[in-house]
Amino acid sequence: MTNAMDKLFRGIQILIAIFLGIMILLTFLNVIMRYVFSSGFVWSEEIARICFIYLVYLGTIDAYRDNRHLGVEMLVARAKPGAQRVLYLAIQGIVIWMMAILTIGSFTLAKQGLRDKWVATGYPVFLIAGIGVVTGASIILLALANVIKVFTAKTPILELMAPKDDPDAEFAVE
Amino acid sequence: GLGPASSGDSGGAATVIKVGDNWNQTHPMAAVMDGLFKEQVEEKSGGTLTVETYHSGTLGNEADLWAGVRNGTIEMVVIGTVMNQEYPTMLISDWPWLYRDVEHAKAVWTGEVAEELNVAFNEKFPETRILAWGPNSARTFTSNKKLEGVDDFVGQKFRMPANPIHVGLAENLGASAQVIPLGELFSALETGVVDGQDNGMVTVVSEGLYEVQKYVYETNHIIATLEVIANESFMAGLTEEQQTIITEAAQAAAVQAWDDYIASIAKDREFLVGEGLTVTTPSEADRQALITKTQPVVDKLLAENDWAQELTDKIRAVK
Amino acid sequence: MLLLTLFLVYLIGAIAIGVPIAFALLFCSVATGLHMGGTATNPAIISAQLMRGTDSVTMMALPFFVLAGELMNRGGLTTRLISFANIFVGRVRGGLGYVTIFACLMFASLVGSAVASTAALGAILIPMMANSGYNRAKSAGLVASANLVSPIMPPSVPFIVYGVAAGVSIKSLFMGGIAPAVYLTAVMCIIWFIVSRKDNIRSTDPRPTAAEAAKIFLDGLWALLLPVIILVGLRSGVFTATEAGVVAVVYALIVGIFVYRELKLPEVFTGLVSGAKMSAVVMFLAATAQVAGYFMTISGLPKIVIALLEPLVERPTLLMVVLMVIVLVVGLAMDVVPTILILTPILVPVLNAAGIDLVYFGIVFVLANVLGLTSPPVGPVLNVACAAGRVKMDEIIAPVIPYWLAQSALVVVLALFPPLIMVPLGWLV
Ligand code: NA
Ligand code: NA
Repeated sequence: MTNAMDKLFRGIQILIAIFLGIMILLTFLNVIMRYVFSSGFVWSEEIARICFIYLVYLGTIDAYRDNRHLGVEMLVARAKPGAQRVLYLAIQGIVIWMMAILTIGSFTLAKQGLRDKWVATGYPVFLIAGIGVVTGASIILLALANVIKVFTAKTPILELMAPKDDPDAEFAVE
Repeated sequence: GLGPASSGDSGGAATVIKVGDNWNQTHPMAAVMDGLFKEQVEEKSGGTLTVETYHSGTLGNEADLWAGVRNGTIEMVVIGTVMNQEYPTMLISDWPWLYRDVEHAKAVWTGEVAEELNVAFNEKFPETRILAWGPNSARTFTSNKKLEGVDDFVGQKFRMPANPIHVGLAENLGASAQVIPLGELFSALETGVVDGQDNGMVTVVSEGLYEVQKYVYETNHIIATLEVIANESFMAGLTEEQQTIITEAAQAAAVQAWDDYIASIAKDREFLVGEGLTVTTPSEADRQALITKTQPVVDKLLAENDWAQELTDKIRAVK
Repeated sequence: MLLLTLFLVYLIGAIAIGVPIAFALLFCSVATGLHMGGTATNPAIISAQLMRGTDSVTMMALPFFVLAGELMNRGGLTTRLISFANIFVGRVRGGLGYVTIFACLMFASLVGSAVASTAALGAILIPMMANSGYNRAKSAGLVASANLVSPIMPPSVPFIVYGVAAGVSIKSLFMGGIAPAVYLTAVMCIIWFIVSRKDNIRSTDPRPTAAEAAKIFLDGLWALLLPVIILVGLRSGVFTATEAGVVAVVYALIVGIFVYRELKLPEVFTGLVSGAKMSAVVMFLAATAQVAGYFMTISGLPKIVIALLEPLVERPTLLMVVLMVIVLVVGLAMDVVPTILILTPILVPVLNAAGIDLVYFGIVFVLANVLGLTSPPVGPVLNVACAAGRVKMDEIIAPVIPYWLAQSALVVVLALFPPLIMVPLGWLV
């Protein structure tokens, strides 16, 4: 189970890396086109924007799983274990509430833009708005899993909240 | 409510109309919403309606405003034609070389053509009610390199909106079209990433672009409109009288904005000349040459849009 | 006023119990919206605002410069830059700190946004200082504070936004920003001098001989060329600021792979993943700040400001000081550009009535706004510095405070003595 999830999230990471690669390629190509061929692509900006939006929304899910969204843990760290559990459940509750709003709102926007397209590429608007549904629903699932961990696993709360080790971090430091 | 919703003169009972646009308050259309529209609505409704205007995209960019007025979170918006992919007839706002001059555009969008299109628009988007068509701007080209005639476009780099019509115009004139976000336009012009851009003179003045441009070529190649659109269920929830007050005020505001806009063009031109820019109005022959050179763009539009021949003919026939 | 108070209480409360800041921003918006009633909490409008905050071409500079920094680290460019800087300041106490401050000033003449420049420099400078023995959180705090010079030294995104909103010359604002940028740099050096005394870090390596220095210089030449290329490219209009990020990526790739031969392809991919992940965290936070800005606007911020200011029109100096304090307070929770967009149209009539020069005002106003970027709870530059330096949010706050206080004092001084800005501006235009 965990193994399958790890693979899924590895897939997300590869995907967002590819999106960033495309953004770089297109932007660089536009600079080259401007000087060498004295022209540009109209559609390249839109594709870069689409990639960026997907990158952010998908990366947000990944960051939630790894506890890498920035926060302040001073209070939780000083609370007693019982209070820590209550606080942690409250945090997950707020996150679930917010992501429910994102899911519903994005669904409405997607439905509204069903026949609408972006100007230069003709990319369907609902595929853009729809990414909010994916992000909202995924984070709700992750938060529910966190709630279950509080009741089933014996892991201390601070350990549940700690940023997961980033396999890339060691490269950046050295 | 606890917020600004309770700030009306009649002791908390006023209904608030939030009006969102994406211009700063100096644009004629934003100015009439602050002035004539707000005054007329609040006065004639005896304080039962309050107007709050939000400029410069503080309630969102045009796509957000459009989404907001459709789902009712914003009561009223003043926006361009963001809905033209879903409803191609709105492409008419970006149609090149459609009018003889700005007066002609005013006659079209404050007359029968507008009324007919209102009916079609409300059928297409039943969750909204379109009230009036005001001026957006008459687009002109500006550049740092000499730009006084049809042939000067060749080899220049223009920042154009990421829209096939606009890009097609620049390319057919022999220029290269670059897509640069509006936020970076000023510094792109200053450093010379691009030579020029196309926007109404109102934007050249309000965005400070005149500080980094030397030539203005007053082509008026596209005279775009701004639509005043209300949320339908909000409107339907008001009394008949209140609805009439709002509709009439919006239409009066649009007429006023067209007049203000026409007056502002002369003022903007004078200002730009005073700032040392060379402002050129194309001769009739040059205008014809511009139209001929960019004919492929119009032909393509006509081929792709079966409604277009009839509507453009009708608009051209307006006196 | 009640709504704004509720807004801040919800925000600070949620952050205090450990809700990640991005989700806390959404929460306080929704909770305030519930008090407002009506359509304020419509999920569609919240989702649309969030999407609007994400869909920004200008912000693409963030992942680009982050990746460039990663590639420079992995490709050996950073270590060579450190060796080079060490020739000059290695034996000065806190030497790399001064390198950081002046690197930020130099970079500020390239980019107009503190978030973008912190992303670019943070990923390079924080690991560089940490590797040389400096405290990581203190290094991140220094980098965050020093980057506030980016939007003050021209070019500047906030100056353009203000200039457009107030209808004043952007060029005058740009020229007027140079003197305060110098003051800011001086303030940074003074505070760093005091702060770094305790740590007493200096290089213990013997002074390099002329031959060694020449070798370090030649070895680092390729790395040194990168800022030069970006500077010249931006100034001469070869590319825009966003495109500069991509040029930096491509250059770092080429030098890392073919010249220094330290960068391997799998590492390029790891860099891409790492850059994308970090950008997602920061961008999601920026987008939720957009949602919160929208709710602050509709909860009546503009009206409160006007009511507060009316009695002060007769006393311009007091008005300036009061305004700047308000902006500093608003900046705790608001981002720069929304605040400028909301407040400028409200303030211009008041300023005209009080006879305050709009260029002078704009410069001090933007500086006060920019300080909000490093003040908690909503400090976008702090977030970027944390992400780039892999430092926790709680750790960076204490190191930033001395700079923030000194910079705020500078704002008040500038509000009291207009000639500090207007005299140098007179020399330049
Ligand atoms: Na700058
Ligand atoms: Na802040």
